[in-house]
Amino acid sequence: MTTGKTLPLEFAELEPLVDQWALTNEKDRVHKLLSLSIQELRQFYDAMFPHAESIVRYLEQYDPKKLPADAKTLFHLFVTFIETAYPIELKWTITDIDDSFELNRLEFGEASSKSPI
Amino acid sequence: MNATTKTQFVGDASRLKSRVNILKRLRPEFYEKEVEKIFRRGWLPVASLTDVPETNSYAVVDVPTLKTSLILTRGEDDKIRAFHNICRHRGNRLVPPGKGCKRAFSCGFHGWAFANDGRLISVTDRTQFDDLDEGELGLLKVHAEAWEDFVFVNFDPAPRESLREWLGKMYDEYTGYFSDREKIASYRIQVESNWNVTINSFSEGYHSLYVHRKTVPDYQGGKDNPQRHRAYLELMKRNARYTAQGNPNRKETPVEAIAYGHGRKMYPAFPRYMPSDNTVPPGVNASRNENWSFDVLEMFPHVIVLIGAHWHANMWFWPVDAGRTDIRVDFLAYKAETVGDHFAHAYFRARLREVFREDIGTMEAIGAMLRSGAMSDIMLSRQELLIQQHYAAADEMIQQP
Repeated sequence: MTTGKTLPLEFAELEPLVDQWALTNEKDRVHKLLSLSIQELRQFYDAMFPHAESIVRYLEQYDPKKLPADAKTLFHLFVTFIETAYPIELKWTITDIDDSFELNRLEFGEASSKSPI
Repeated sequence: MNATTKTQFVGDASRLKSRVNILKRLRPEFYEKEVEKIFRRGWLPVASLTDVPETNSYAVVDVPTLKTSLILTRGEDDKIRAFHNICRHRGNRLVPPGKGCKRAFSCGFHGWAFANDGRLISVTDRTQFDDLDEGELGLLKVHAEAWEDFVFVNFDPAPRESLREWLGKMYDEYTGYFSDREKIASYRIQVESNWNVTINSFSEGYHSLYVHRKTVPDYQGGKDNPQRHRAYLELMKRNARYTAQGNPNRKETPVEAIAYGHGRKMYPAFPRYMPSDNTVPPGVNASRNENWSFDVLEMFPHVIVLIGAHWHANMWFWPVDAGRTDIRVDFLAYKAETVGDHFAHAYFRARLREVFREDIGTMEAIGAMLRSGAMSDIMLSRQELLIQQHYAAADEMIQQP
């Protein structure tokens, strides 16, 4: 199933990532992250990282409350990148560490389950 | 020998004990005393003030320790009130869980309605009741008061201390610091562990070198403080606080640089503290440490506040029974105005959540082993003085008639 969401033209090459990664809230992002192997996560990180500065420059021209639909999708894709980068940057070999409290027992409240914009 | 930070200790430690009998505290009989003498008498933070942000806001808060549910309201007069969430007609739960904006609450059972200041304002088919005095049938009040970002309640019909007396010197030491923040993450977890054990996990930094070695390997410590001593540790009346000193040589990661480069720096980074910054009230970074990363404040009995520049985290450790704790956590940050601020929020949220999951991850193993009864006493260092203070404050209240 596809969401039919598109990105601004400048970032068309990232469009194949949208369906899986343009997630709108923390709960969905962390569940996605922990469902992957570190190799799968690294592919996303490597695909996004080279575009990071230009994405920021593009989005910064907008008031976050008034993002056009394609820019909002780009925003969600980019925030997913920011929230899922730590296992790569901390050089983990797995996406979740063994002694952390089990994610499935964490109940996510409203602030963690909806988009801030 | 390495130099290491020497903790500045402030406050009266004379009543504290470095060896505490934890085993007796796991027993249901002891727990009953904690509920009656501490939770039914003390001023308890129950919610963040941002849960009732404007006139006519309300929030329903469960208090499992006292087996009740409260309605918190902010009236037309801007006053914060708390009521037992029970309809005075037949005892139905008046308001379902959640929050919102309402002037009045109507019971789903027979339609009795109460104003948000507690008055009974409407009884369905009133003439069929013979002896009804509306004046006496308002919602059942619990003492409530706002302090900074918190709503406190007191279940004692006649509280032994005012909130100001209960908080002591810190009452005036955080003025305005938590305002203009927004909630950016919230979690709830139930763990199989005694509530004391759970809150103890957050009131020392001694564990950070071990428990958090994978998630935040270099945020504290460094060559000047390899043992990660607290920079400052203060014991107050019942509450206590410490300052965690950041490692000035910690390495920023590439995504962190992007996220915080377009918003404000937050955990596990920290902006260099400028002693000339007198906008920070005296209770925050009390020793004015230039490598201040965050403070930990224990608001006895059951709340921890992590306090950083531009953010704070409120953590509630509500006992459910002697062996189970309902943990509620909110992360709050400065209000986002730009997309860059949202990037900073996102980075901070993910990093702090992972550290927090590690802390929670220790609790059930400790709970299980303590329940084995193999040992009775825990040993507490000077870096764990907040835990010593927690038990001293608890014992004092339990010993009261």
